[in-house]
Amino acid sequence: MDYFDCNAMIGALGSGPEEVSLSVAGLLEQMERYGIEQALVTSTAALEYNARAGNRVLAREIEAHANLFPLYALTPDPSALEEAAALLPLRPFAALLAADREHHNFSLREWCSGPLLAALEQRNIPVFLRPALVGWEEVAAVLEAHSNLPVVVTHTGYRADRYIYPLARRYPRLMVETSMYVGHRQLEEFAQTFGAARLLFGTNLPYYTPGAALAVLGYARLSEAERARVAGGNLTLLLERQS
Amino acid sequence: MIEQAVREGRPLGVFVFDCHGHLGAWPDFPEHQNDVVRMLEVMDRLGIARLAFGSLDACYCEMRRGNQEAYAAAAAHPVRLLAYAVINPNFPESLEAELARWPKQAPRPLIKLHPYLHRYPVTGPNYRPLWEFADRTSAVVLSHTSESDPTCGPLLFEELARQYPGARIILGHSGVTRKGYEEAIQVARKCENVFLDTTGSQSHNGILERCVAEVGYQRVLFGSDLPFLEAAMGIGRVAFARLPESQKEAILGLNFRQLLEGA
Repeated sequence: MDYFDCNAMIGALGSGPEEVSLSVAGLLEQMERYGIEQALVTSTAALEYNARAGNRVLAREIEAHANLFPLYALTPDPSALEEAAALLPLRPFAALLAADREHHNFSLREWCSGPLLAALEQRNIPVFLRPALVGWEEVAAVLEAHSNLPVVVTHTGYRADRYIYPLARRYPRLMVETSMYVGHRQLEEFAQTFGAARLLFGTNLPYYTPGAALAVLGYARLSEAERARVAGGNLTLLLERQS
Repeated sequence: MIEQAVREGRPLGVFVFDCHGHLGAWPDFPEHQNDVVRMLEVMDRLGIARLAFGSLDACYCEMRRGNQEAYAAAAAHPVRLLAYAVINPNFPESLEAELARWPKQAPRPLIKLHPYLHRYPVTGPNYRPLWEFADRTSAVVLSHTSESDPTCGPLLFEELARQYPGARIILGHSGVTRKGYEEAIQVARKCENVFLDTTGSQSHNGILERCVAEVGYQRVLFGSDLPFLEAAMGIGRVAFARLPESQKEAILGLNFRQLLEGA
């Protein structure tokens, strides 16, 4: 099984704790330990400190490692997307929009993020949103305004199906990251309802042990082809399709 | 090898005794395949031999009705399922009778507390007869805990563990968060009759190893929260932990069996 983790983060947090900070070397060591070949990675600097500066740090840190792909934090600031895209021009990437007030503090609505979202949609660049930070209404607004934009909801928690199911029914480009989607038989139920093509394997490193995510996927009642898609095939396709 | 079994998605092949499961449903998200037959299916798939569980109805709503349903399910599957008596402190006049109804499936009573859902502090006076009973009978008391919560923060249990040394107290979820785990570890280090439960939705990296280092593997117990949470998640945390195989095996089942049946 080829695992491609869509939810990993490097760097330290100012608020600690120290044991959950992960260097690139540490991430690679964890990936090897658990048998994860590739990862889509963001950085604490991009999320918690400054998007532009953090993206530069991230690109520099992962440049030498072809199995790591950047999840850049983007804001609606002019040229933020172009700057990020130019950092590692040959490597596909995804966009993290941490729009909440505690992070990058902007609105995901059209009057604010419309041009950025339209540009991402046009280039087919997947957008990662954390509903726990930005709210489900904002996720719905993004999907409604940009129906061709691939949107991945991450860190959803297991109590979110009354939001996820109506959105997934309505917006076929909505996908779910698995690290916190851990209700009883929740993953396989989603796969049976909407198809395994809409699930992305995530570990939530460095916070969570990948052992949990591997076990959830490993024991899920999916065909081996479906399991492989969730493990890495879906994310590979998602990144390949951008222009 | 336990880790290899998980990598291959097959039953673990060691004795697994899950200390923390449920029966029933809940209000705030849809349940999927949560009936007893499907729970047993999942247990077979993962290799969980036995599950101790408490009624969710009794946690959220009706103690008597919920416990009866749980006892009936346990009676229908006595080899696999073991029911806790869920005790609601808001009905103190029913406490003694409810404890007496517990079907004596194990050598010592099994009691489940949910101070958070019952909105009553675990140190409150209505719980006192329960703790006296637990002290007297060496009962196993599994309580929901949550970081710094005023009803069931792990630190509240230090006083109880000292006051009622005969009670064997399992800190359900070990306080849930990373900080909650630290609180639970702090109490367990001081009190030999306190046990840490690995059940929970948050799979903190390295926390199991830390529990073992601080408290000893003998007082760490595997729990799944079946059918609330995905049981495979809890199995994966133990299976991939950087611990010797013998300690994983103890955590997965032998420790809880010893707790129920040992001297």
